Amino acid sequence: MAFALSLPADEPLRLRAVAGDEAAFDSLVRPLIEPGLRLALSMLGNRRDAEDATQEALTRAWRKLHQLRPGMPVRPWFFAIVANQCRNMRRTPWFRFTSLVENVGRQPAPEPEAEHLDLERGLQRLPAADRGALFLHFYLDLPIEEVAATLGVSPAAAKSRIYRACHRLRPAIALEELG
Amino acid sequence: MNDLRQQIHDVFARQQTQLGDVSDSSNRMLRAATGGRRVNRQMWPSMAGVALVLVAATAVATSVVIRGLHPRPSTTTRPTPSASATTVPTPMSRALQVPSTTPVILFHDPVDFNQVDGTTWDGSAKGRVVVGSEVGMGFVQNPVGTLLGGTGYIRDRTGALVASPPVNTKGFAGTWADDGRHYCSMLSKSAAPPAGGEPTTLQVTAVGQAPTNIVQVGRVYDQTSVGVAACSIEKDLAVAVQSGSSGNTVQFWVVQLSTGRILWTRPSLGDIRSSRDGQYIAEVSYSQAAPSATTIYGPRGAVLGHLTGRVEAFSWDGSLAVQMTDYGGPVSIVRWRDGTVVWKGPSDGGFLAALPEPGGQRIAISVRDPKYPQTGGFPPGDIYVVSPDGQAVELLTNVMQ
Repeated sequence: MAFALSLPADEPLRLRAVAGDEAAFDSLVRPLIEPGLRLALSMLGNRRDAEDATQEALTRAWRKLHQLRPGMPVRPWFFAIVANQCRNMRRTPWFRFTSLVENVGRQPAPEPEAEHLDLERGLQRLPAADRGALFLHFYLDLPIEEVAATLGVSPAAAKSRIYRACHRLRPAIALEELG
Repeated sequence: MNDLRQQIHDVFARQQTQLGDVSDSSNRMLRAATGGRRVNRQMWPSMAGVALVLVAATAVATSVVIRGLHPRPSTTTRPTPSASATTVPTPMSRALQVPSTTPVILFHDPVDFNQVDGTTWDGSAKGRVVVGSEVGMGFVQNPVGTLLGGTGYIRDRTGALVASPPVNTKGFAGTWADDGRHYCSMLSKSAAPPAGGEPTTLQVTAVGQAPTNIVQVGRVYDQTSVGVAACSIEKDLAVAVQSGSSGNTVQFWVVQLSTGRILWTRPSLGDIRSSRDGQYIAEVSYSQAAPSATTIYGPRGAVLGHLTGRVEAFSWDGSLAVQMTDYGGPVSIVRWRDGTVVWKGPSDGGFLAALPEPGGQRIAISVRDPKYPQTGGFPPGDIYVVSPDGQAVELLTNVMQ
């Protein structure tokens, strides 16, 4: 999966966006919306809530862009906001219960191959934070440093989290193999 | 490693297929973000597969799963699906016919998401409660299900608007108190906290009245929040929880509502779960070296017990805990003081959610059911009402969550 993940680290663009230039903001964050939406989907499990979380994140990003320090990459900053929105939504009491049945009628996802069933179950049983780390690193192809920035942890902790998740899925895996 | 990496990627990719084309969403969200507006949630059509879920909704209280004998824990097994489990995919049309004070569980109608239905805890009555796009945006019921709150509204079971709380965030911005007529919330001065953060104030609000400030506790930053884990008028307590940027708990406080006095507080790195009255607080900790473990604190902060695994919820009186060994793993209900297991959920059913019965000891638990494979974003779940003697009644089956 190749998303437009090149970092729009365009300082003039950021400054224009901070000054209220919607076109500059558009250029800055548009490439991040789809991966942000996918990150939210991986954390929340349904498109409706994923869109809500991403929408909230975009709104906050627009309001808070001035807080992004010069030189800081936009991508992990934005993903961190998305992830935080998702966590806030997941904390809502009875969140899952009141979300009953909303996926009914969706186009079913393709049937997983038999060999993937165990892995899929294993992934579902991982703590959300660990699953998120795997998603960022293995699906969105973010480098460890950006996974760390997104999750608000050190690179060593991010790598450790990914390793821990992999180890749970495949106990024979070795830390060195993470690269 | 490369194989595993590819396999993990493939699993995620398969789950992402439901997203489809997002270009329209991107445009719409960008416009809304810069325009300072909120976009209404889109309700996706729920026609195909609706019968499957309506089956579940109409199967309320139809199947007693197993009757366990105390003190042996009962273990729930999966019932055989009823042959009559086919039905017309229409929303529940009959209004819920119970006294206005009867506790009920509210849920979105399986056919019409903009309709809220209710069922009594024993499943003896069920029916339509409220209809409207507003409730389709999501709601949180009070413990007895007599009021439901959402973004900017609190309605009763007749649908009448009883209060219009200020809209500070999406969804109901409070935690219902155990009396069902108040709620606690955290207030910060500005909607968007400044770079250095700003303090937050615990408030309690009687429905329809102005909020009362209780005490300044916690601090909100751009990527952190302060929430309320419990709000109890009966015990005059609230539990406020400060979260860090990674969603982890940083600190929690137990506050006396009438005085604003902080009765006790504790820094924490775990997940915090509280009984509805703030009397018992479960701190779930986990590390790479050991499986999850839970410490239970009492009303004054004393450690009352340790459990393996995660405690996710308590019964209304706090004597029973919903426990699971790991995220998504099988669920049990235990008397946490002595470790007695009173009920074990299906061995193949991972925990999804729990709700304590107000004033009672039963707990509604939603668990996964592998008989019903996940075809959408939420895994299907079965909802059981478990009594303290281990009896479990299945209220809903194969409902998407």
